[in-house]
Amino acid sequence: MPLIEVLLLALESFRANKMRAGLTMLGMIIGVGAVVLLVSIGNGAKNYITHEFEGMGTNLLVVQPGRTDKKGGFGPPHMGSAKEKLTIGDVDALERQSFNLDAVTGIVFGAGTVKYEDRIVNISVLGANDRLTRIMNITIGQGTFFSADIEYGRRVAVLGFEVARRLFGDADPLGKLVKINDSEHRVIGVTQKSGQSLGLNLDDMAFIPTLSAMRIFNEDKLFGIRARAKAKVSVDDAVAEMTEILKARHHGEEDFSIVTQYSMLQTMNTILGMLTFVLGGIAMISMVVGGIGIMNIMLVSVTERTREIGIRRAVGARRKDVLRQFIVEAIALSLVGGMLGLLGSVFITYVVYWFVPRFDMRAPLWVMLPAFLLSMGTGVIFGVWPARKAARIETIDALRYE
Amino acid sequence: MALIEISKVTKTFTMGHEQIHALHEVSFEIKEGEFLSIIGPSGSGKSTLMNILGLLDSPTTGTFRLDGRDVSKLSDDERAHQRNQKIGFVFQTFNLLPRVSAVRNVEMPLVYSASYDRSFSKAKIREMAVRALTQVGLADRITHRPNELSGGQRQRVAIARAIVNQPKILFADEPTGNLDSRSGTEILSLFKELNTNGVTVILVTHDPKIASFAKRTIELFDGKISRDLYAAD
Ligand SMILES: Nc1ncnc2c1ncn2[C@@H]1O[C@H](COP(=O)(O)OP(=O)(O)O)[C@@H](O)[C@H]1O
Ligand SMILES: [Mg+2]
Repeated sequence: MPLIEVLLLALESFRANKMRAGLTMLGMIIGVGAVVLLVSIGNGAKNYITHEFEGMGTNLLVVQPGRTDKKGGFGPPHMGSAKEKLTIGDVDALERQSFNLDAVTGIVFGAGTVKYEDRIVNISVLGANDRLTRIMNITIGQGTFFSADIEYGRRVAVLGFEVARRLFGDADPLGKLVKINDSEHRVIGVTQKSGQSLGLNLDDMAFIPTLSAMRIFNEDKLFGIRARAKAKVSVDDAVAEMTEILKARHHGEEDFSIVTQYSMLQTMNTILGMLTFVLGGIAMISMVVGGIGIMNIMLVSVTERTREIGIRRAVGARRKDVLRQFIVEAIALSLVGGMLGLLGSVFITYVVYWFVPRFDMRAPLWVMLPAFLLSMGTGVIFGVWPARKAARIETIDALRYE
Repeated sequence: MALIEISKVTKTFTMGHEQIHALHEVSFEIKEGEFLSIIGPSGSGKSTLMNILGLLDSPTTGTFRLDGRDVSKLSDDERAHQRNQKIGFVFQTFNLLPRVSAVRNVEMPLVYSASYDRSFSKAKIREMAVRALTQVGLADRITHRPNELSGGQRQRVAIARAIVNQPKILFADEPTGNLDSRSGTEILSLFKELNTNGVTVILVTHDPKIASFAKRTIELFDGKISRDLYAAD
């Protein structure tokens, strides 16, 4: 029997029992839809992170105290020993001796409050020097950032856009005295509105000079050092040079680790790739559930259609004709269901993209092939057993079946 | 040469430890063009005999020659092929697909014929099915579904399906059992007409009145032939 005719029979059988066909497809719609959606979310997250990292510049270098064995890992450096301190002296040394670095700053970071008159706002306080604007791509909207000749300990502050708005409303914040963790600072600038970037919202922060921050948080060491390599310099050269300069200051010991933008990106991508994989795996479970649904309904359908099988066999259908008919029905149902699931989920990803263009989770084109193969495969795998059951039925028994 | 030739055909069903001898050493010949009825009380083995003659089932022992060929040991696929080409069935309960139009029901055997003969195009299949429906007087009911037809009309759709591939033999197992007497008579006249056109008709019934439509009557009792009579012309 030609395949077209078998397909026509399948169509006829779906039309004869729309409810059953719809329920069977539902499993596949959800299964394939879930796979495509989760893969798209993983993929979108990866695109988002890559984009954000690249926005920060690929020549960023981060020095953390303590040694991490994994190169370029995010792993926690083991803290504690006095030798492992990074100090302002280290920052100065890098600044003076390095040929490859464009800008270097020490970083002190902590939670805090900023108070003006009777208003209090919770913020993150970032201690750094004047080079921070270049390293973190900060734009000043009002006033100035710290100037190059600033004394590290002067009590001046640059407020994030949102912090300034909440403290001062429409009033001019420049020159006003605010209390950051009860220590008075004079506002010299406000950042331009910039929004969230990798979970760090510059608008909700206050920037103060490094020493001032160390005093507030009662620290004698830096949180870390951030630097930017010169545009034409290779990042690896910059890392080598920094390592040499810092080692010389740390009695020849490499008790710090340097993480590059690139290695951070790689680590993130590895994690996200893994995540996508795990999400896809979870979604596969729903495919299997969809497949079992197909098998269940096909088994019921075989029993319900025992008479039909008997009639077909009586007029000349061979066992293989019956087998083929039921397999084609299972495949057609799961394919149509799968393609509907694909369309639906792709549509959803485009809708999400429409509303949140920053998070581009539009389904990648390549998911079409696995979605197709997956639903086809499910139809074959879970259609075979019911079809074999149908083909094994004896004609005379089928004709007597009530 | 006889169209059907069975000798010493026995059919034994095993149910648990019990053996049921549905047919016991049955032998006879049927020539092409006969109109035969098989009669006997319920449980005498009529349907079992028809299933064997119609290649739906195989005998436990004995030989069966159809059209000069020994068919008692054919494979399942070959029996399906022979049924498709040479045999038509009409059942008491019509056995139509309920949600499919009359013409699609009638096309069903031809769809499987297409496996053997590529000349069975969709157009040819449709044409043959319409012709068969016309032959049974249902030219104006082609697109109707079985539930939109009367009992007599349904049985005529079933007859159209049985004859659509121009079989040599037409089997009918209690074809009038579910019909009122007028529709029943119409159906029997239709069989007579088909027989006049050369089809061998084998009518299975428990009712002597219906059996009297046939030219020859084989009576079964307890799985054995108790009488084999030709009606006087
Ligand atoms: N598939 C079967 N399994 C077991 N016994 C059967 C089967 N088919 C028929 N029989 C038995 O064989 C005997 C003849 O049955 P059947 O040919 O249907 O009789 P009839 O058609 O004359 O009423 C009955 O006793 C019946 O119970
Ligand atoms: Mg019977």
